[in-house]
Amino acid sequence: MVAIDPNLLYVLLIAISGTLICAAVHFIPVGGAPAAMAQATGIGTGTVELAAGSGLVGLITASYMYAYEPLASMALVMAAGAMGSMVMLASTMFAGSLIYAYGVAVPFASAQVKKDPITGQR
Amino acid sequence: MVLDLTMSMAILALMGALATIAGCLEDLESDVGSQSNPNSQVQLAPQMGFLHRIYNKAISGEPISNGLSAVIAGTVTSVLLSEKFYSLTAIVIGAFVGAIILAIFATTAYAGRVASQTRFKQPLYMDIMRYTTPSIMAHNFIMNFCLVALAYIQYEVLGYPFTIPFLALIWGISAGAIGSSVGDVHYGGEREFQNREFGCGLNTALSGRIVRKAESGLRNSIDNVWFCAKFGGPATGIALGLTVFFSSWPTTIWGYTWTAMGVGVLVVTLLTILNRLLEIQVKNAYGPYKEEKNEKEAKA
Repeated sequence: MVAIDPNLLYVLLIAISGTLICAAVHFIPVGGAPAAMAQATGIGTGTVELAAGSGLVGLITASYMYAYEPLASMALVMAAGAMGSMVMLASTMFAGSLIYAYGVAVPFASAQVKKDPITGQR
Repeated sequence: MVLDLTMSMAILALMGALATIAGCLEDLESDVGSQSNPNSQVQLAPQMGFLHRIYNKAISGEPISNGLSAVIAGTVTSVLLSEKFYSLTAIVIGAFVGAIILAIFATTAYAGRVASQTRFKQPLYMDIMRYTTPSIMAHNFIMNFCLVALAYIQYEVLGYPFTIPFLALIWGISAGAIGSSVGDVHYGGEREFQNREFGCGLNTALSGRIVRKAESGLRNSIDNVWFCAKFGGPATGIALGLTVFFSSWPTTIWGYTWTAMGVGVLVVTLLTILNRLLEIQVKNAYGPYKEEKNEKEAKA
């Protein structure tokens, strides 16, 4: 096998992770400013803001794992980061749903699709 | 620094409490200044002929301006700490400087925005600027204080590998992101259109037709923050508090292992299930989805 220059490998890995981030943000149903007025479906903020917020929380948890467990494998550090981001998004979604449900009284429905792909409800 | 379990849990609880207050105040600060997404309606209102007395600062997206004031507060704090200031004094002074900078941005943003609306005859109310700006500063000061205190605890006590300004920036951006997606909905979806039927959502035709009369007299931003402090702000606080608490809680109890990661996934699953239960309850309470007329016609 041809030996790869480590720097090139790092650049490639960063490029791959960037691509993965770009693909992953599409799974978050962000609605932008209209969603904050319950005009459109989705989370009422920008993709950038939510991605930055959750990504940075993940950075904090991953860095703490990296700094405090020298034996931690790369996978564990990455899992710690993913866990932090997930927790941030999950708690934000939950609190956001509370507002939509009891503050604005808007049920969670979309006019764009006939059925929710997971629950099968309208 | 390695602490025993009781002490680490106490610190974690303190961090969660600080984050809860910070999140709440962050959202209220954006409501009193009318920043972020609902600002589009406040900005649009004069163009629709609805002149109003609502403060209109949109410095930038909420996370950015919030991260800005937090990082300034953190920077000043770390400078003062390096000059051997007492930590609490350093944090208070840092938070105050951050709030002053935000207030400068707020006044220029308000004046600039209103000036750009001259052709729609929107006046610049000096009394609004005089007594709403200190309110913005006050909210922002408490938020800065909580976030920098959180960063201080993480850096000095827990030994995170980042400096205080960077940690403050991260938590400032996160708080802004949560406030933007949680608390603003209460302000934009409900308070700005309170004269409409509760739960009707916002028809596109109503864009810009915000409520301009208050419970007494003309509505201003102080009335808005009074309303949002009842639900929007606390919900944002809960979201940030949960984030800070549950992102550190598994590793505090189970150490830096895969078990802790599993517990983190469990927490996320639990929140998702709660979300689903909430959705079912809401759908039962508000009835099924009604198809619109043109939708039915399109089908036929």
